Amino acid sequence: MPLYVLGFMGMTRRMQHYDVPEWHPWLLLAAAGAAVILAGIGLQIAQLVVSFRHREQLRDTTGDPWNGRSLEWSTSSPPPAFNFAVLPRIEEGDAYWETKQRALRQHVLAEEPAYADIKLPRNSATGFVCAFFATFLGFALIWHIWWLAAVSFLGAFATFVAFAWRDRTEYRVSADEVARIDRENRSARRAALAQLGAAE
Amino acid sequence: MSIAQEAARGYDPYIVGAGPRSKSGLPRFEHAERTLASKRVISAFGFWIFLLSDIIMFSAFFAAYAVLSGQTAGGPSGKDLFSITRVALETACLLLSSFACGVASIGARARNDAMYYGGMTATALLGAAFLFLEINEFSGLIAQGAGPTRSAFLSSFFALVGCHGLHVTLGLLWLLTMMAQVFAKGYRADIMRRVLCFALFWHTLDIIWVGIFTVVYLMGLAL
Amino acid sequence: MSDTEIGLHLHETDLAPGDEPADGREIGEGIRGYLIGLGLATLITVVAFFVSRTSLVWQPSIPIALMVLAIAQMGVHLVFFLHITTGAESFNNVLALAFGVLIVFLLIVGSLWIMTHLNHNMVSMEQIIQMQR
Repeated sequence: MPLYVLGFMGMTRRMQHYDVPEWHPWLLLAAAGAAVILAGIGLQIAQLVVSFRHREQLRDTTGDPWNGRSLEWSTSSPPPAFNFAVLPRIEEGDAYWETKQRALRQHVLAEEPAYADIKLPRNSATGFVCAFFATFLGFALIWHIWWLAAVSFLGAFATFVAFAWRDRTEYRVSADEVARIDRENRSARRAALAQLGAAE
Repeated sequence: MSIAQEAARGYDPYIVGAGPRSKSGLPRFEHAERTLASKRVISAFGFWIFLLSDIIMFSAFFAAYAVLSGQTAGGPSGKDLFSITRVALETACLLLSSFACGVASIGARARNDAMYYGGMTATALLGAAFLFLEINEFSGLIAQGAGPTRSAFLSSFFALVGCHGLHVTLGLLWLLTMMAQVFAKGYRADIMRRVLCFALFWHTLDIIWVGIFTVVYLMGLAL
Repeated sequence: MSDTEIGLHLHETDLAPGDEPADGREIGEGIRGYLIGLGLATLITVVAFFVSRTSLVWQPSIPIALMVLAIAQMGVHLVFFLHITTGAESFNNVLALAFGVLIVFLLIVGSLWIMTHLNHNMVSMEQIIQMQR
């Protein structure tokens, strides 16, 4: 901000020296600010070093490292392909927080949900391939290479139609598989809960 | 309160109880107002949001045209170049094609081949007629030295109307693909969603044309 | 229930934007809706073309009249072709549309305002040529 004010006062960038006394207090202020930023950078580096040194102790396996309040913290990190094992039923505000408070009071996780099959969309290379053709199309249009423009456009269109012609668009993750993945996360959370209980 | 007591109270965040299940196999929530919307509704709503973003893009072209419509750099203005008959024909083509698309939509939902294929073919022919007229106009303008490089007015004109024409062209490609898909695979749920999205797209193009013929052609000729 | 089964699988009272309302409607009713839309749109178009050419209307009001007619016709399209209603099932669609209209309005009005302002404040070409002499 002091530099912004200096701009209004007529100071330009990249000055080796200056001879306008009015600028001096603002420049001192800016220098102080730079020192604060330097301290910040130092702290960042320190944080990286410390985090790396103590990574075994600091590692979080639950997916909720900061004791989050909202529902996105109720799944593992990284999350599974289906994100959440079940669609949670919400009856109150701060549902995840309340669930955790209950678990802390009772020293036990909430009961296991009723797992069901989950259908997910199949992966496809269409986007990548289309982008490849689109790049050539853009290049060809810029340089007026009409034959290349036509070919790339046709390629992109054909890729798109091929994608639209798919008969199988989804794959199914069985309830057992969902249960297996979720149980892994639940055991990590159970261990964390036990640790918290032991700490009290 | 124990978990059992809480469950009895109805609190069941992970659907522990074996509640009734909806047709799609997902558990239904007694207290929830509604379940997840159907794929058809979700797809169409998502496409509607895309169309609104497309309209916003067009409005940027409109704004550029509105700002630059007077900058003819000593060259021809709209009054000198536009032909009211051709604009009337183009408008008729697009309006009728929207109607035909509506017929095709009804045909698709009723699984009526005659209405669907007939409607789509009519839409395609009318759309192609529109494009033919527009390409004619553009080549005529370029031939008489009033191409997009002549003046700012003409640059913005070609950009706006050309962008719309490009959308119509791509729409026609999509139309042909949808006819081919229904022919090959029948009125499948996912294909029906695409037909719905295509209809949305086509009607939106007609709405944008209403803006174009009003702002560009009618105002160009009147003022 | 697979994605590729025949049919529409609509359980809800929600309406997809642009979708025909209610399965049970006759084909005739549907066509009638589109015909009314076509008729109204044609009428508005004809009036717009007439207004732009005639000397019967007060000249300075022509741009406004054309804009009003264009908006009316867009409304006809939205109601009769895209089936945007005021009912509960259309709520999300109407809300999204309103937001889109707001952005469009800001964009166009804002651009015109800024460019007119800049143009007004800009030194004219003759003055620049004078200054260069």
